[in-house]
Amino acid sequence: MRKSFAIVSAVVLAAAAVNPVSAQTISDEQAGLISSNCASIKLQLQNTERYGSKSRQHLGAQYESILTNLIINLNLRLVKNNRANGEIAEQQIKLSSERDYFRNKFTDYSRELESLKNFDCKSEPQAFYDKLVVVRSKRNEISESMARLREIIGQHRESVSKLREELANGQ
Amino acid sequence: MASNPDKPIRGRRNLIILGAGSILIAAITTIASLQIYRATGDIYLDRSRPGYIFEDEKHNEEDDQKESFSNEGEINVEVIDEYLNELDTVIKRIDDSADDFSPEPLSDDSLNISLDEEE
Repeated sequence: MRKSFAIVSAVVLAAAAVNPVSAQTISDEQAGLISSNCASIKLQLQNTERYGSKSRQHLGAQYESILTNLIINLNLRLVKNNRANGEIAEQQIKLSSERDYFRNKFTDYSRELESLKNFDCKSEPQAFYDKLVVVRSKRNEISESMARLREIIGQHRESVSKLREELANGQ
Repeated sequence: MASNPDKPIRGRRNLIILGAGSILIAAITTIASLQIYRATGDIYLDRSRPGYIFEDEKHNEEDDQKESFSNEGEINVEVIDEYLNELDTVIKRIDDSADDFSPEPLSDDSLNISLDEEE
């Protein structure tokens, strides 16, 4: 008995680890709302997808620009002037890695959003809502990645300001 | 080199095989490229898809301007000031888009499925 309880608990925990987004049971009223507003929900999802795609391109271009046009060139220039800066070099690596993560998270989110868009919200409102919760979580991951990217960029700005002070003080 | 009179020339059959083969190869390569297009996530960035172009999207020319900082030359205060200027321009654009992936567009309220609103 104890053994079987342990097995069941392990399976439940494993399932929770695989899918960290917990399912949320909706009320009958809310299910009714989803079914009746299905068409407008789809339209809203479509608009969100379009704006998301536009933002991803815009933000992706900015991250790329900072990395390839600014940080990499600054690092190269510092090395050529025998002023290699470990902090700035590390920021380059961190930014590159987080930018890749951001790209991947956007792809995951878009896949889930597309699947949600094509889901029948009229006849399966609960399953639709479960999927919506997953999409929200994926969207949140993008937002978190953006915050981390911004933090790295902020740290980079501080490092460059520090370098400027050193140069001004003739170091 | 004389042709063998006993061997009939099967032009029509060869033509059909050639046509079918070409269609098959085209279908395979098209399916493969579509799979790659989807797997890499490029499909989600492709705004040339029907219905993806916004009316207000022509204003983003400013975003296409690329910052530049040469990897050649000396390092001094003026150079770093230029660098910081370029960096601040991009930081401003990023900050302007800071809320682009906020939870709001997918909230119950935005989707009109909030019970509070209904009540």
